[in-house]
Formats: sequence, structure tokens, C-alpha cells
Amino acid sequence: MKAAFFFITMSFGFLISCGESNQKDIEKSMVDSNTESQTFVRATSEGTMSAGYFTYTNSLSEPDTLFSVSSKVARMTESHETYTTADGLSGMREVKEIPVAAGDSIQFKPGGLHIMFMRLTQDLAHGDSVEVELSLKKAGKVNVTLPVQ
Amino acid sequence: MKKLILLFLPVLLLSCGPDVKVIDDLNDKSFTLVNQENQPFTFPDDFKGQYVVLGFIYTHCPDVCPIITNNLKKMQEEMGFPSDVHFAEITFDPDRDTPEVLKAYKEIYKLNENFTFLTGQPEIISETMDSLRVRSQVSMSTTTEEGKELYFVNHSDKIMVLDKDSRVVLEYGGSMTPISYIIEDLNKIRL
Repeated sequence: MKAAFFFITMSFGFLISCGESNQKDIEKSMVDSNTESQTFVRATSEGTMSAGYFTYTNSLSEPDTLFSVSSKVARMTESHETYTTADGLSGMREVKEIPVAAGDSIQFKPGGLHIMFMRLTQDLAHGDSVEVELSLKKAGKVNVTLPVQ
Repeated sequence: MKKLILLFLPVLLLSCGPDVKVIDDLNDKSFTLVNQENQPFTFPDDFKGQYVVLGFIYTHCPDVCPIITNNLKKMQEEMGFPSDVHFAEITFDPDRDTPEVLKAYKEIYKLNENFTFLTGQPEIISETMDSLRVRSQVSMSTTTEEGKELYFVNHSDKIMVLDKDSRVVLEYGGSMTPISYIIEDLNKIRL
């Protein structure tokens, strides 16, 4: 009888473990599995859009604000962020000013803040590089060069 | 005791097969789309007999959609380019994503013949997306100096897996799911 009880108990345990969902709880973080570096501009063709990613560190001893970005590779260049709308859709919107504390950084990264290159004036191919001019209220003009991947 | 064991054993064996939960059955659906080569493609019928890892994008999306495409590409690579699993993406922006545009997008990402892009007539694309519970809406629209319309699209961020019988059996956040999770789940149900 004890053996029967043991077998039934084990059976139910086994059934429960086998019924576990094949969907896992997903940690909500963007995963771009094909970009090794977080400093790059996406390769794409003329006339379309691309995004640039890098980290800007405010090396001043006072707070600063990024208020404009520009690049010759696009007719329009803006700071954008990817966000989730109230009804759960993935959206994108312009961020006109980005404050950064002294010694702190602004991270442009996939799925978050990014430099938005709109209506590209040229193809962006692997191996190319893109110059971006950042305008900050205190630091002034800062140029960054990003590789195309 | 022997009778008890004989009673439970078949239940145990049956319960531990592939854990396939059908989310949507698309067998009664049929949408006439076109692929990146401008060839007619009937979705999902033309995928029958293969598992399909399916993403949804628009090529003017520079951030989330490339992440989804890269995730599918990396999945294909890490799975060793399996012949029984097809990879595909359907655009929800058919006005701009013509077959030619999708072909150029595919070339930029260096994707192989087992990776298909689909577009179609806007109303057919809309019906296809509805059947897959993929939502999209124009979020910002402006007119450029040259008089061209420039717009962005808010959209579902989703990757799903269809089994060989055109049933949606797995579904994930498209840009936020580690591909190892999807590969592990897909391998559990591949027969």
C-alpha cells in the first residue's frame, strides 16, 4: 500500500513538472543579437532611415544638456527614443533635450535612446563611418565618429 | 499495485511528449501576398510542412525592427540553418515596403534563401495582421521639404512560431527575448 501511495504521489509530481509552460518569463530588455559593439550606425540604403548608438560622457564639472544632433549622411537627424505606448505598442518619439549630470553619461543603445538618421543621402555599408555633431549647452559642439555595422 | 502502475503509466508517457499549446490555428486562413522577389505567396499555406519563425517589421524602422531581424538571423545561424525551419518577416507598411525595398533590406542583412520577406496589397496585409493579432498605427506623419510624406508606425513587437500545420504554437516579445529561449522552446516541439 505504501508503494502504491509513493507511486501515485510521484506520478502527480511528474505530471505537474511536465505540464510546465514552454513560454518563459522574459526579462524585459532589448536584445540585439547581431551587434557585437554598442557603438555603431546600422547599415542601410539611401533614402531610408538608420540609427546610431554610442555613449556620451559629460566630462565637465557641471550639468549639461544635449539639444541638437546633425550629420551630413541624412536630411534630418534627431535624438529619438523607443518606448512602449499605453496600449502596449512599440513606438518612437523625438527627445528634444537630454540632460546629463556632471561626470554622468548619455547612453544611446538599441531599444532606447538613439540618433535617428532620416532620409539618408547615401548608402551606409559595413566598414563606412558616420560623423555626428552633437550640440550641448555647456560643452558646445562635439563630434563623434561611428562605424557602420 | 500492478493494476495501479498499469493505469498510470500510459498517462505519464503521454503527458511528457512535446508540450505544444496551440495559440492560434491559421488553417482556415489564406492570404495572397508577394515575396521579396515579387512572386505570389499564399500565407500560411505555402509554409506548410515547415516550422516558421515569423517576425513583423517595417524597413523605415531603424531601431526595434532591425533588432527583430537580427534576432531571427542569429537564431537561424545558431540552429545551424535547419532545413525544416523557415524564417520570415511580414511588413505592416506595404505602401513603402515594396518587394524591391524588401529585397534590398534582405541583401543588407545577408539573409539566405530560407528567409522570406512578405508584403502585399494594404487591405490584404491588414487582414493578415488582424488574423495574427499584430497591431500597427501611424504615429507621426509629416511632409518633407520635397513634398514627400514621412511617417513612423507604432507596432506590436512580436516573434511567433508556426508549426508544420500552420498553427501558432509559440509567441514572444520580438526584440526583448533572448534567442536562446526561443531556440530551446522550438527544439522541444520539433518532431
